[in-house]
Amino acid sequence: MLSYRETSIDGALALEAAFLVAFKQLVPEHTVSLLNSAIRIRVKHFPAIFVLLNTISGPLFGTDTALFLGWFGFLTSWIYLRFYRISPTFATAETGQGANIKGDASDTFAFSHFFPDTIQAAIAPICDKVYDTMVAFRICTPFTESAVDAGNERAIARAEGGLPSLMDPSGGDAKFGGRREEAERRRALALKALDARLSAASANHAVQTSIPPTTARSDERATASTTMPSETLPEREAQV
Amino acid sequence: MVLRFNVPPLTRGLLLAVITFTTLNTALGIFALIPNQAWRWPWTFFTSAFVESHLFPVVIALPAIFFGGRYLERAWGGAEYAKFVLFVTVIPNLLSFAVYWSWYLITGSTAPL
Repeated sequence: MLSYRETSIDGALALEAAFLVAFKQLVPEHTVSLLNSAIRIRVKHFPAIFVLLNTISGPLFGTDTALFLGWFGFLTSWIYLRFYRISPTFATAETGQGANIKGDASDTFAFSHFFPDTIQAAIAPICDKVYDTMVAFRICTPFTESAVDAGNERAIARAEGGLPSLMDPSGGDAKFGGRREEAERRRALALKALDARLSAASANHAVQTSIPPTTARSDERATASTTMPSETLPEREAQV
Repeated sequence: MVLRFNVPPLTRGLLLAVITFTTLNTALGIFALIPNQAWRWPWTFFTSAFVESHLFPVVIALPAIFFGGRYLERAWGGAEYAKFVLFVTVIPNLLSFAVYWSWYLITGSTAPL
């Protein structure tokens, strides 16, 4: 038997757990049928089942590395997707045009929603306590109301996209979670390109118009702009 | 070579990584994360995720990366997908590394769980 420091910590367990968490975010309600529909499981339950199986098999079969990698993969992935991942979004009343969303504050991506519906109610208060404690210690910044709304809006938009087809992304229904994400991403890229072009064009325009004034006047403008609050500048420039 | 399945580039890379690192590790043993060797082989914090020590996990990992990776790479785009993969391989490996070292330092034992 190898000692702990000689144990080989290997395997894609963490990556697999992380993928399952990502699917739970993208297509939570999709049902996967196994063994001729004898077993039907919704995607949102996969991460918990995967982690549970690895937790049981750890002490039972001595696959303790799988236990730790599974848990850490699950937690890393959820924390990243929940709090950190920056993703472009559709223009909404909440966020403005071309805004980015940090994390996913939607109610259905809460930690307690990884558990079966029956024990969710029991787990949710504990999760809330942990969250409140972390906020109190400034380990994480609390979600704003609008972030939660935006997250919920996205979650609904994904669900409305129709049923996903995990096994065959190229065929079947064209509109599902992943496709929706992809379309969203492309749209954001296009908006960004358009924005860059527009600002480049207006910068050009500004350079051309700023040449005519006399040197005295442009000096006056320069001093004015340093002393005046920035909010009043556009008005003044418009007058000039 | 005719590729029957359309696989996005990073996912293809990860599939090749599993096959390559698993094979090379059986021969050389320098791609799996081993707590008391990690300082010599720092890349193992990443490559270890693509090393399998048995056949069964390989049979799981390849389809998981093929279907799962392809789906996510298309949904998120290459850069976001790469970042995600980097985080969820390196961070769990670092944490496990810490757990196994602490265990060794605390117990010094060789018994399983």
